[in-house]
Amino acid sequence: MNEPPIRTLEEIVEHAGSGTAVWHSRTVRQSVDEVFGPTPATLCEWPDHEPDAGADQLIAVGGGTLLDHAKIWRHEQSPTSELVAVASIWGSGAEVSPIAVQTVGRRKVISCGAHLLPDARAIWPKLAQTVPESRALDASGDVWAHALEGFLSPLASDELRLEIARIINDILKPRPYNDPAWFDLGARACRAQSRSSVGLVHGMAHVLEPHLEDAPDGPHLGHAALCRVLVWPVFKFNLASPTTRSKLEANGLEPEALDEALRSLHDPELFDLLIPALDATWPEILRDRCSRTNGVLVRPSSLGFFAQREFQ
Amino acid sequence: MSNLDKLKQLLVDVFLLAPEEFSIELDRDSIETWDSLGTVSLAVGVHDVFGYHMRPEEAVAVRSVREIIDILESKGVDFDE
Repeated sequence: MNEPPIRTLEEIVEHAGSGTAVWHSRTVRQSVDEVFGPTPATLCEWPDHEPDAGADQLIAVGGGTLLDHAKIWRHEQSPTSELVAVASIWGSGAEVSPIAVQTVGRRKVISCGAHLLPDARAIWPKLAQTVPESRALDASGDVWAHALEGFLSPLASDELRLEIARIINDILKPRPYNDPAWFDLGARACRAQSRSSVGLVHGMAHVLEPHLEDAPDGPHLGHAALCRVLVWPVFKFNLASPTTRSKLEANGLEPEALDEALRSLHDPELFDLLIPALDATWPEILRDRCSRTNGVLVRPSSLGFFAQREFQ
Repeated sequence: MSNLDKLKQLLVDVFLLAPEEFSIELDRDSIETWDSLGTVSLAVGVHDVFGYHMRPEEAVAVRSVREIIDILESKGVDFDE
């Protein structure tokens, strides 16, 4: 499946006509009004409104949840519309992915197919400046998780590992938390990972997120925030296997540099709050399809590594 | 721990079996969790425990505990300790 071609913001604004609908999240309302307001395009805010079916072009501007929703909506309601995906935050990779995740009740329903791939994507660099620091760091945790889990996946070929190692080395370069370069890094990590698998970070996150939603006193964390707090402990868990170290070093990656970068994202107090939830859901985490494609075998006894904070 | 005990522990963990469910006679049809993802986990675990990297076609073709033992024995792992 080809990657959606990149268009510049100027290109999509220039071509936004009366047959264009811009479907955006609330968080980017001001930016969308400023840029698309003067065009003939129809603006509609998700989730309160949805575009008219049959628009020539649908420009979706938002996070992964909106982009995934737009992908499914386009397929079901308006299949002739061209879909241009503009991510307002990095991490999910929804703008380059043929996968769409929807929450139905407590369950995450995953759909996949070429019909869900956007026709094009655009990077809107200024949107990076609208992202609060904490949310940006959470999103970076999601990017890291995609890259590392795709790299370590038992389904990754040698060629793919080399490709992802280059992405990881790019992610490692120092940059501000809201550097627009994160948009492209996130998209590259997601595309590469889609050719292998994710692993235990995603297995934990998929199980913990609905569990925490139901917990009256527990922290309520979204997917990216969970990735951020889990990616370092899981990296250390994987690194305890000699296989992981040899895979990293064979591809020019320094485990110590990764350790330092991932540790800087970690929040030990938040992790401590997750330990009871990990304990309660561990059997479910073991059965999660992502956990089962982790680069290192996750066993029932592996819970101790996390519950006893052996990574610290 | 003998290699058979190591294999038993590995398969119990990979396929989430109760220890008493393990038998050398088990095959893919009798283990619900021995699906395509179980095959991936099995290959990862065999590498972790026995240092042998199963080729993808080998991991997909294996259908029983006895066949796993046969493969490992052919790579020099001794199960007659």
